[in-house]
Order: sequence, then C-alpha cells, then structure tokens
Amino acid sequence: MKNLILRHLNLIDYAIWNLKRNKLKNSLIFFIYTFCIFLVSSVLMFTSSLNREAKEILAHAPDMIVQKVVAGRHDLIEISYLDTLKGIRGISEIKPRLWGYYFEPNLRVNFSLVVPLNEQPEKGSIYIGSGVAKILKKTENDFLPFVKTSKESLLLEIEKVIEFETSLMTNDLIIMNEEDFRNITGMGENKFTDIALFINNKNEIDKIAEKILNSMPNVRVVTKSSILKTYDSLFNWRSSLVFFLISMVLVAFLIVAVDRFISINVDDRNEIGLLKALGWDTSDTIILKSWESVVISSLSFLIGINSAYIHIFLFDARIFKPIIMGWSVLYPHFNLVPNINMWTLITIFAITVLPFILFSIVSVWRLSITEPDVAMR
Amino acid sequence: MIEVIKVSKIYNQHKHNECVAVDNVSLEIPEKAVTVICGPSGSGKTTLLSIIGAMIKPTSGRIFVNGQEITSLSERFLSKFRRENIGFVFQKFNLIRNLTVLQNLFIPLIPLGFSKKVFEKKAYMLLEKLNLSNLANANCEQLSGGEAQRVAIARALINDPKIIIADEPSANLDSHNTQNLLEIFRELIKENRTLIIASHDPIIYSSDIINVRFNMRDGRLIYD
Repeated sequence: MKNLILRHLNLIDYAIWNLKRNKLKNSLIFFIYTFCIFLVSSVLMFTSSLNREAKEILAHAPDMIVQKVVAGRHDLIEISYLDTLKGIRGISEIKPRLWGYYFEPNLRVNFSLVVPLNEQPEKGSIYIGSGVAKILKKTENDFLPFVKTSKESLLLEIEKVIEFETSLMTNDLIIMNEEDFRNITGMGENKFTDIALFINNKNEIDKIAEKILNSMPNVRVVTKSSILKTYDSLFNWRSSLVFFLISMVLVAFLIVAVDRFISINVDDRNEIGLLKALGWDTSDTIILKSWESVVISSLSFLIGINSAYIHIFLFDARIFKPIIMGWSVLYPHFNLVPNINMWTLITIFAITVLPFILFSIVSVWRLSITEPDVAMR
Repeated sequence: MIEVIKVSKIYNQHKHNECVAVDNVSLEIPEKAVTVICGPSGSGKTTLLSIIGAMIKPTSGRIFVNGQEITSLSERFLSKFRRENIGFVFQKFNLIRNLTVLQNLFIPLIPLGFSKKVFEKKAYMLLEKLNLSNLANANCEQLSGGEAQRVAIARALINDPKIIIADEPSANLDSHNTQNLLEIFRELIKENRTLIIASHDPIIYSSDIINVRFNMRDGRLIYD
C-alpha cells in the first residue's frame, strides 16, 4: 500500500515537472480550457439561477389568471366578469389585479407598477424594489414624481425600499395604492388588468380553465404550469443560443485537445518510447498522462467555475445578459441570487473535464501499446 | 549468456516499403564481457540491439537471456524485464529536456514506489562515481556532449542492471570524451556487467576492452 501511494506521488511529481517543462504549450491549453469552462459554467449558472428565480416567484402566484382578449391582444377586463367567474364551481378565491408598466423617459427604463392583492400602501405612499431605489438613487421618505396620462405630475412618497428574496421580476417593482395607480395610468374605475384565481383542488385546474373558456369566449386563461413551461422554454431556448456560440469555442478547444492528445507530437512520442525503454509499464505512462490531465483540468475547472460565479453573481452576467435576457420589464439593474446545485457542477464537470481526461488516456494508451523502439523512431 | 537464434526483423512486412533490417541473425553474447556489433549505418545494428534489449519484437527467431526466452513474453513482462535487467545508453543521449540531471536520473525509479530519499541516495552515488556531482541540479539542455553522455550512462545504471546496451555511444562525442567513455565502460566490466555496444567508431571497436566483435552488413552477420 505504501509503495502504491509512493508510486502515485512520484508519478504526480513527474507529471508536474512535465507540465512545467512545457510551460508555453501547457499554459496555452490551460487558458483556452479555463475559458471554455468559464463560458459553459456561466451559461449553466445563469439559466439555472433564472429558472430558480422564476419558480420562486411562481410559488406564491395564483393558480390561474384570466385576461380579456380583444383582437388577439390583452385588454383591460371589466368588473362584470367577476360575476361569471363566481358562478364556476371549484374556484376558491377571485382577485382582480391592477398592474402595468411605467416608462421613465429620462432614464429610459420601464418600471412595473403593481397594486398588491393584500395590504396596499396608503394613498400617496409607495414601496419600491431595491433595483428601483438604486437606479433612481432614492431612499425611504424621498418623493418620486410620476407623470399621469393627463400630463399632470403626481408626487408619491417612498415609504419602504424592499429587498425581495428573488430579484428577477421584483427588482423593478413599484407597489402603490389602487387610487394612485388609477390616477397615474388613467385606468377606469371598473376595470382591471386581469383576474387572479385560486383553486383548492389543483387537479381541477385544467378542467376549470376549460369551463372559463367555454363560458367567456373573449378571454384567455394562463395557468401557473403554463407560465413555468414558458419560462423553461424561454430560458432553454436562449441558453441554447449561447450554447451554440460556445460550441464554436468548444470546437476550437477540441482542435487544441486533438493536437495535444490524439496527434501527439514527436516530443511526446519520444518521451513515451523512452519511458518504456527505461522500464515503465504501459499503465505507468497512462497514469502519468492522466495525472497531467487531472492537474490541468482540475485547476481549469476550479478557476473556470469560480470566474463564472464571479461573472454571473458579482458582475451581473455582463457577457450573457444582453443575449439571454432582453424584455422590457428587466431594463432596471438586478442581481441574480446564486443558485448552484450539485447537478450543475456535475454537468459542467461531465462536459468539460471528463472528455479532456478521456482524450489523454485514449491517446496515451494508443502510443503506449506501441513498442518503445517504434515510438522513439 | 544471451542467445540470439535465427532472428529477423522486417519492417512494413508485405507492404510496398518492406524493409529487412535484420536477416536471420544468430549469435551468442557472453556474460560479464564487452561485445561490440560493428557495421556501417543502416546495417541493422540498432535494430538488433533493440531486439536484444526487448524494445522491439523480432518478426521471427528467438532470444534467450540467461536461459529465459524473452521473445515470448507479454508486454507487461517485457517492461519488467527491461526494468530489472537492461540499462540503455542511446546515441542521442535521450535525456528529457528541461529537466535537471537529478530528475533525469530519477525517471527509471519513478514507477517503483521508492521514497525520495532512496532516489537521491542512488542518484548521488552514481553522480559521484561519474564525476557529475556538481551538475546534479543543472538543466540537461546546458550540458556538454560528454556530460550528457555520462548522465545517460548514470540513468542506465540507476536500476543496477546486469546488461548495459549502448547504441553508438560515441557518435556525438569527440575523441577525448570517447576515451573517457571507454574508461567508464572499463569500470562497468569490473562490476561484472555485460556490455553490448553497437558502434562504427574505430576507437570503440578497436579498443582493448572489447572481448567479442560481430560485424554486420545489410542486416546480416559478416564473418571475416
């Protein structure tokens, strides 16, 4: 056992000497490799974090939203629709909602205006998300000016700056009283943006949705699960786009890997042949080259993963955000909440480190089974 | 004793570029003696040495080393055989570039699972013996031809093999260094080692240290 450990320690030592003696070549491989891991990890961390945020948001969302549709477009829904909904069995709670967007022309950003279902702020007061506070450089007790549709201005006092658990959808929120909302947006008294429904028996959601569509033909019903599916496909599609771009980088990396490991150069061939001539076994040379790969790939993995973490969660995913994100609600600055699970790490490891080590083992094995004299010629 | 029985080596057999490097060679190499195989370049000396040193398998024929047939050994046992019995000295020294002299000497010991202390003890003893102690930490790239050859010999001796195979050991040395090399060989004979040298250098093959001489041409042994 002691001999086995010593043998591996000696082989690791030699692997490190070997990496050092080919500094230039190995540094190049290391940098390209680390960059690839950084890119792949960034995308995976970004999309995994987005999905988590979406799920967190939807955890407390209504089971169903009813929207009025006119000419295929979302329109304001009249209070009379509530009566029809009250007649449908299985719905435990019906809550008309008020929300919309407010464009701030000076900063060219959109904020989401929301009237909460419970506990509204007092008239003249608002709660704002931390992203809004940051971008407007405002804090509690400051006043925020709004321009009404009638072009008159309205000053509302910031009562609270709220740090939400998730920031994807809540960072740009301005929460206000119903009267202030109607004042700013010009929305009529008996109209709402949509209606939120809560269902007791979750198995009945689809059935109830069907009933609603049959009884009110000019509405659309959005269920929580369909929103989740939309998020999933949206993030997956966008991440696929980035993956496509990254795959080009991976191909470049593959070429380097192929050059390094499959079409092993004369120097490497000589080395393997010499080691075998000096009494090394095939397994010794394979273990040696595996250790070399493990050293490079582990370092690259650690640095790549950590750089990706810093990029996504500390530097706000500057490289990917414009590609993966991109709808108006998200114009304000927001920070993603770190969300790295074991599967994300295993996936990154599996698509970056394992192929690299595998390449090295296969190519060295091919060379090691050659007679030393032939390898050295 | 090493017995070579009807050994042939054909490269690229049955291809358009087929090449018979060694053709039906039989010879006996005595133990604890210096045997030289001479002949011009391309006569098959190196290939024959590689076959004797278990670096390459012959196309046909058999080789016995102290009664043990090595031509039938599997790759794993051939490695073991090389490690325990053979020390190679190559024409171009074949030191691993950008490693120190000491690191190059460690190479044959690495897979054996010895501690660093054992490595160093063995290596320093040999460096002392070959007057290389002051170069222990020198980069191999910085060595002169004579120094590099002595390091290569030290590396061949580190596992204390009974058989030393040297392929054109003086090819990259001047006459002064060649004389020094012969002195080293003389010391090795005193240690009861078997030396097999391939050379077409007259200083080597005419030296008084040589006990047995074989001539080769076109892959065959030539008898005067």
